[in-house]
Amino acid sequence: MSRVPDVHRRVAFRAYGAMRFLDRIQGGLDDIEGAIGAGQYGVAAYQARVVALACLSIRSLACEGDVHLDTDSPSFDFFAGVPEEAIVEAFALADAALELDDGNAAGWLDRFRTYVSGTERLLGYDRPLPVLRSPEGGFGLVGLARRWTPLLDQLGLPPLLPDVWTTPGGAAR
Amino acid sequence: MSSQPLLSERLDAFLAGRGTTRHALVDAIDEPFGRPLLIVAAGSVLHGFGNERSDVDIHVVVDREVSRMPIGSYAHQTLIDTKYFSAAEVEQWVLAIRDEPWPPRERLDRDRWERHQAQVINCARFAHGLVLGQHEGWTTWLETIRQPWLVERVANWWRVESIRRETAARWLAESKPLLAAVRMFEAVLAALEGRAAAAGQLHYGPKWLSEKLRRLGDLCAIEALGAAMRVPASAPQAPAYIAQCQAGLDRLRSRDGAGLAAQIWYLPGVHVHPLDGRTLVSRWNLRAIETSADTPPVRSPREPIWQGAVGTTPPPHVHTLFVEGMTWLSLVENAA
Repeated sequence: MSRVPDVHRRVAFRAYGAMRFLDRIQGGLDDIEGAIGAGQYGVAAYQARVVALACLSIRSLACEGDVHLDTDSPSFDFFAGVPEEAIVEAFALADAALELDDGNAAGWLDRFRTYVSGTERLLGYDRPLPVLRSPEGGFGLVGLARRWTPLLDQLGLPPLLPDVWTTPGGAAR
Repeated sequence: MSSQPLLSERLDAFLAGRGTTRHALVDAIDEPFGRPLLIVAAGSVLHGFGNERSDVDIHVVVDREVSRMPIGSYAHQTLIDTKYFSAAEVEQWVLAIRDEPWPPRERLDRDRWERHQAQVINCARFAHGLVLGQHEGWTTWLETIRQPWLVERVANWWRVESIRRETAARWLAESKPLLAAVRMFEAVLAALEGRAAAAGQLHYGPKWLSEKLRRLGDLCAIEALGAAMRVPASAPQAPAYIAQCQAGLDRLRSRDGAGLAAQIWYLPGVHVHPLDGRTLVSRWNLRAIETSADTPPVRSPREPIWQGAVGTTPPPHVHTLFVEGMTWLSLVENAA
């Protein structure tokens, strides 16, 4: 048993954090693995920075962060409430990606995967999250949305899935 | 722009490596919104950047309204990411992108900004993609969006976006130096995207920026990207990094922000409550700040809470709302 002092914050962290992990982090890690396999180290380094920031934003969601990872809004804060040592840890991995070559890429990728897995564990699910880029990924995403939607509605929190994904014509408005 | 035979060659080689063909790919496209009017393949594989983890992006135009749920399907160990577009939507793009100025002179809220961004991204993908199937009547539209104006519009999109991120960095620099550093990183990326786009590399998104610059042989841009990638992890390092990025931007960008105005809007989910001589500003009932009594209310319909020339700083009560993540920033043409 653990006490939950702020139910809004806890629900937001677990629901939107999982969504963020599926939508941004899994795909980013997949991109990194593909880029390293092809020797596209500049691509891997950029995606490492993006994934590191997304992982920090999940840590932020546990304390002060916003519900959606809104990278288009220039006021969105990846770091809100995140301790400096957590930022240093994530950025050290992203910086190390700037030095990737054929000799060190595999070792770095292992360390980066470990860091990403640690971020997933923070979300407190009792099994690994579904993999969006997989044949079953779409069902996993819909299942996650179904699981959380009643509670999000009850707490007045916004939908887990963006309007543009779910509403016919939403993309054109 | 790569020729259709070259795009075709790249796609066929990618699919052959997975034991399949273009015809099988087209056959595997679902038709949940009715019969396709136009099918175009796009993405990194066609632009020659693909790797073993790449998916194939398929864009399909249909004659009805659609949603844009990003759920892929699998065929022959290949993720096929199919997006559907209504014919009415894509037919607006030429008017919206070629014929209307960007940024606009009037109000630019977040929805309109997002709509324009999606139009620019998707129009470039259609223009530089491989046509896999089309009904009669779409040839003229495709020829129209493949004209040189699209290159100029995409480059301009990135120029304005770079200035928007730089403006945000300046406003954040004192209170949130690390976040300001990230915004300057994004400003440099946007400037480099604009430079690559102007040279014909329209494939959208900074993920492939290093590959695009390498293909162009743009050593100056590659150097600027390498320097910008070293984003600081602690606040004391941020001012030097920001100054370095600023110097880079001054070299990279063709025009500064003269003639542009910044426009500040409340973000969705923000509520403003008068509170005994102060004001409580909350978002999604999840976080809040207490501000001065002169904090503007949320109006319906929404309207900007402040507008001023790029280069100026909002008054303190508006500046606080921005720094605390309660507001959206647009840039518009300065009508004054």
